[in-house]
Amino acid sequence: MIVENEHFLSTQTKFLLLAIVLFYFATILYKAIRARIDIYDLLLLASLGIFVMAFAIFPDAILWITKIVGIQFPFLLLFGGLIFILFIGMFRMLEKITEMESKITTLTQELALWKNREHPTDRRP
Amino acid sequence: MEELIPKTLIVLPCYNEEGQIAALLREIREHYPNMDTLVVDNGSTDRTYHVARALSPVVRHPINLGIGGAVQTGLKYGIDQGYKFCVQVDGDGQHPPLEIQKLILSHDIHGSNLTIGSRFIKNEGFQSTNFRRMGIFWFQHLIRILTGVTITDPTSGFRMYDHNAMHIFAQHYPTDYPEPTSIVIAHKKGLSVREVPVSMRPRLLGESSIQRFKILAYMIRVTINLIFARMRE
Repeated sequence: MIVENEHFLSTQTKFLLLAIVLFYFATILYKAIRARIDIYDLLLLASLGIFVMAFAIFPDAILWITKIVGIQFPFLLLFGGLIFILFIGMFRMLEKITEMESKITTLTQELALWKNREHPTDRRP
Repeated sequence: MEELIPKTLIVLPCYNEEGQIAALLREIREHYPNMDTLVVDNGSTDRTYHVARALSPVVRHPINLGIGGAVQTGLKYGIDQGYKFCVQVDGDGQHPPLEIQKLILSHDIHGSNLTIGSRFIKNEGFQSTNFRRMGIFWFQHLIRILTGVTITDPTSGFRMYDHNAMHIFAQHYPTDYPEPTSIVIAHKKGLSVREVPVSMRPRLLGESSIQRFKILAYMIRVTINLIFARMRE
């Protein structure tokens, strides 16, 4: 990390971060257009990129927030924010898994009952 | 006696019971020739399906859904086919078919929606291991705190459902720890629950899905599940 004047991000670092974030946005947008992720997940993933982009574009604002909150290093705010967003994503995935488990149970039961109706197994003499 | 009972289905949820199921089905047919049976093969990896279908209709799950999923399938089948009562008998042979008549008699007298066969009213027959009894007594007290109802054998899978109970549990049967949780659900849905003393047998073949050293973890999970079942809509 190169500190120029009062800024904690160099110009090169800012451009690098912006380039990575733009590539990241393009990737997740492509996945969303191909219906591999849904809109809610797209917004959640995009918020990760927006958070990093805010660091690159408004480093002074981030520094100001860091001082107000009392965190020693600005990058701790970045990582803390990213982890928080990831936690939200994790909770959502757990909810989806539970919902899918319930749907799988119902589907399996309906399939078994349907197969029994179509091909009864009663072979008692 | 069975001639006086409206259409009753005996549901036998099974998982890998090829060594036991045939003898059990013959025993049921010997005592209750006029009652129908349904074996729910819960994703068995052995020959349970092939052995059972020579003696009974079988509904076969492509994957294992747990005991709760299997019982729910049996209840759905019972409703589809117009049965008025379902009797749940475990496919491992622990529930002597001769004891089914006690469930039926109890329903005749008391008319409860859910009748549970309890090992611990008269303490006859196989009483389960000490470890498990500790867990069962804990659940007994917890269910009493949560519902005000005393059930001496809340983990018993030997039970009889009337038409109301069949409809409710066909829609919402707990997949996690279904036996004790279903009692809390029954209470919440306004179903009457009654116990009748029965005698059970030890498992002859195979092994329980709940092993000794996992019982503490099982107790903690079931406790949380019971509390949530009481709180949920």
